[in-house]
Parts: sequence; C-alpha cells; structure tokens
Amino acid sequence: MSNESDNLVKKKVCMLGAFAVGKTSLVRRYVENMFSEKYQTTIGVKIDKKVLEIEGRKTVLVIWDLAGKDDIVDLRTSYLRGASGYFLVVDKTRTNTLQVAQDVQRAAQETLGNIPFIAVMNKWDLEGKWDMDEETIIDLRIKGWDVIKTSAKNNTGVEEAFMALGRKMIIPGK
Amino acid sequence: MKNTTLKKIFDVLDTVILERQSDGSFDIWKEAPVWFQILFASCMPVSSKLAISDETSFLGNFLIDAADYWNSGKDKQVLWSGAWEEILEPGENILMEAGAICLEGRDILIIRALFHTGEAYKEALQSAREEIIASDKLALLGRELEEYSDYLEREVHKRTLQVKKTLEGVIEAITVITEMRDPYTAGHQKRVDLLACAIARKMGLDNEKIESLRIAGALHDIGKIYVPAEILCKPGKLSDLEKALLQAHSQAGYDILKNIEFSWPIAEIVLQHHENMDGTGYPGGLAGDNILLKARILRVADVVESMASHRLYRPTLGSRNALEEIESNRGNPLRC
Repeated sequence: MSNESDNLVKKKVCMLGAFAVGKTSLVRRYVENMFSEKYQTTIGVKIDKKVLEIEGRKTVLVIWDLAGKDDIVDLRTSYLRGASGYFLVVDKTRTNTLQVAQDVQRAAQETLGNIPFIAVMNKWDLEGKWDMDEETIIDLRIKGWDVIKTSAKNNTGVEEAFMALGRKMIIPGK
Repeated sequence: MKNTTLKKIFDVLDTVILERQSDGSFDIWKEAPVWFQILFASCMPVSSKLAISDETSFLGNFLIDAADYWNSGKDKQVLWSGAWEEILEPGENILMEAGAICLEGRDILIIRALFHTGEAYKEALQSAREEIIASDKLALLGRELEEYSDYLEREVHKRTLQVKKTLEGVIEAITVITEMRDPYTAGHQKRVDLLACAIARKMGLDNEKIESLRIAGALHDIGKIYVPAEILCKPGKLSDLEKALLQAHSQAGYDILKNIEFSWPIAEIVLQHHENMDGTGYPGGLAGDNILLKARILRVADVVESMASHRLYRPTLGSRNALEEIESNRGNPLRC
C-alpha cells in the first residue's frame, strides 16, 4: 500500500518574460495570496512551491520564477532543464514585453521542445494604460497560444492560469 | 554596511564547502551554518552529509552542470550557478549562489549566502530597471501625445472642411435668394465671381486672396434684397429716386455682412464694389488706393460681366466689346 508522498507528482514550472511584467507578483498571489504595489526586481531565480490537486492527483508545483529578461539579464537556458511547463508573462501596458515573450518562447521551445505553456496577459486591471489591443491577443490564439488574462493585484485569472497549466502538464492533450 | 571588505568577509563566513564523493553525495567540510541546515534538512541524512537527487530543485539542476564540469577535469576555474532565492521560513527568504571547482583532484561544491553582496546587486539592478521603466513610460507618453496631436489635427481639418462646406451652402442659398428677385440677372454673381478669380489669378494673387474674392464675388449683390423687385426688373430708364434706391444695395450688402466673422474683409469689398478709381463711384466716392484691391478687381469683373450680358433695358454688348472697353481704358480711371 503506497503512502501519500508516493502519490505526489512533482512538476517544475518556469515563469518567463521581460522584467517588471509581474511574474513574482503572480507567484506571490498564487502561493501566498498576497500582493504588493512596490516593484521588487528578482535576482537569478526565486523558487516557490505549491501543492494542488489536479483531476484527483496531488501535485507539487516547483515554481521557478526567473529574473526578467532585458539588456542586462539574459535567459540562462540551463534553468529551463527539467521543466514540465512554463508561463510567458506579458505586461499589457508595455507592448515591447510581448516581443520579449515571443523571443523567450522560441528559446524555450528550442531547449525544451513542445511542452505545455500559457501566455499570461498580466496587469489587466490597468485598463486606461493598456498598450495592446484585443486583436493582438486574437492573433496569439490563432498561432495556437493559450492566452489567459490576469491581474495579480485584483486576483483575476491567477488560480485559473496555474490550474490550466497544471492540467496541461498532468493530462496530455488538455 | 558600507565597508566592502567587511561585506566580503561576512559573505565568506556564510559559505559552505562540500566535497563530492564517489556515490554522488557530498561531505560537508565544516559545520554548516543554521540557514543551510534549515534549508537542506531533508537532504542531510547526517549533519555532515548532503545528498541531492531532486532535479527540480535549483541545486539539483546545477549539479547536472557541475558534474559535467568536474568530469571535464578543468582546474582552478569556478563554475557559478547564478543567484537563487528560496524560502528559509515563512516571511524570510535567502539569496544564495553555488559554485563548482576542482581543487587538487577533488570535486568541490561551494554554496554561499549572498546576504550583503546580493542586496547591493539587487539595489543596483532595481535602480537600473526602474530607470528603464520610467523612460519606457515617457516614450509611451510621447507616442500617445503624438497620436493625440495627429488626431486633433485630423479633427481640425475635418471640421474646417465641414465649416467650409456649410459656408459654401449658405453663400449658394443667399445667391439663389438674391437672384430669385431678379431672374434677368440670374447667374450674374456666379459669373462675376469666376471672372474676378480669373483676374486675380492672372495678377498672381495668392490662393487666400483668390478665395476671399470668390466669396465676395458670390455675395456682392446681396444688398439687392432691399431693392424693390419692380426697380430690379424695370426695362426702361430709372428715375433719380429709383437709381438712388438701386445704388443703396452696396451699403445694404455691407450692413448684412458686416457682423459675419469672415477671415477676410468681405463686407468692405462688397461695400466698395461700385467705387471708381477717379472717385466718381458710390457709396463713398473713394478713389485710387483708398479702394481695396479686391473691390477694384470685383468692379472690373462686374462691369465686364454686365456689358457682356443681356439686360432688360439693352441687348448684350458682347464679350469682345466688353474686353475692348477694358483694354481701351487701361491706365485710365474706370468709369461706369
């Protein structure tokens, strides 16, 4: 008879995207249900864990929150090794963060192959400052991307995004 | 803490040195600090040993690269993992870095806490990124302002066209009303307008001046609204009183137009369009340069059009005769 820990599935999930798009805020909202307005840059990688149940299976998400990509910090693809899925986080108020997400997605695909990922349009609450139109999102969906609108601040779509990625990782084809 | 050397010493004190064993586990060289024992408790079967097997952990992932590095036999060069942060206990995180090095044939793993250097780096990076965000926001604001300015310009252009169209409609309506009362001169104002503009163009006047002439030409007889229709349509010679009533149309036109804010002195041009260069015209008896240039042009166009057209009191004199009249009076004060 197996004990509970034997049934635990461990999955590594990476948070990818440009800097200051809200990767850490999304993780913090999801793991601790907290949010801070103050921007705190991430150095290197921040590791968090969260246990969730997907289709009756207890799963430990090991969340790798990678420092945002910019001219100073580049993506170390060795950090992606072993990931079962990833989030591409885009700041809806900064159009250039979508380009970074697309570049990062290409790099991730080269390293990891076709593993599940979800594009997250974050800062959905800042409606007056949006710098992308709905057509951009439609284009991404046409490309085959799963896009979820989130706001770490308002706790919109955060749980839904993690659950969606969790399902895609646990149940292939979801 | 401002003293850099001291910071480095503190960082070194927070360093754990481990040696890889043949079974893949690590022996800890000196007693591990508390933070290390808390963080890796589940990977330490005894206090002096570390066994990492979970590749989803940061250290487990780094050890794959470290193993390649140790196996490559490189010496005296440290392979650094880059910084990573983990939760030490609720509300307290710790920033660390791991390094792999070969020393005298031993595979050494270094794990150090970046309490101080990490904070300094974080501050510098944060400040740099905040500057980038600020400049991005400024650029975005600039783009938005530029787009708004383009939008306003388009709107102004659109509204100007609408106003111009409305004005033209009003002028057209007034012209029609004026000429309805004197069907025998129907089209006169339009023809005067065309002639005046042609003269102005020939004289090299700019488009603005030509436009003002077009409007003045289309409205120059608006004052005839005040003249009884019997006088306007009378086939024979006019009495002095009738003539005086007819001549009052210049002043009447001025009175109608004087309060409309045109961009040009349309009312004044209309007032002066029967003035002659020698001062024999009406209503002011102005002469020479006291008459507006555009009123003078309008006067010539009015005379030529009248002579070339059929009137109730006389048949047409023909365009050729009208032009000859102008030609023969070139340089002389114009009388009509």
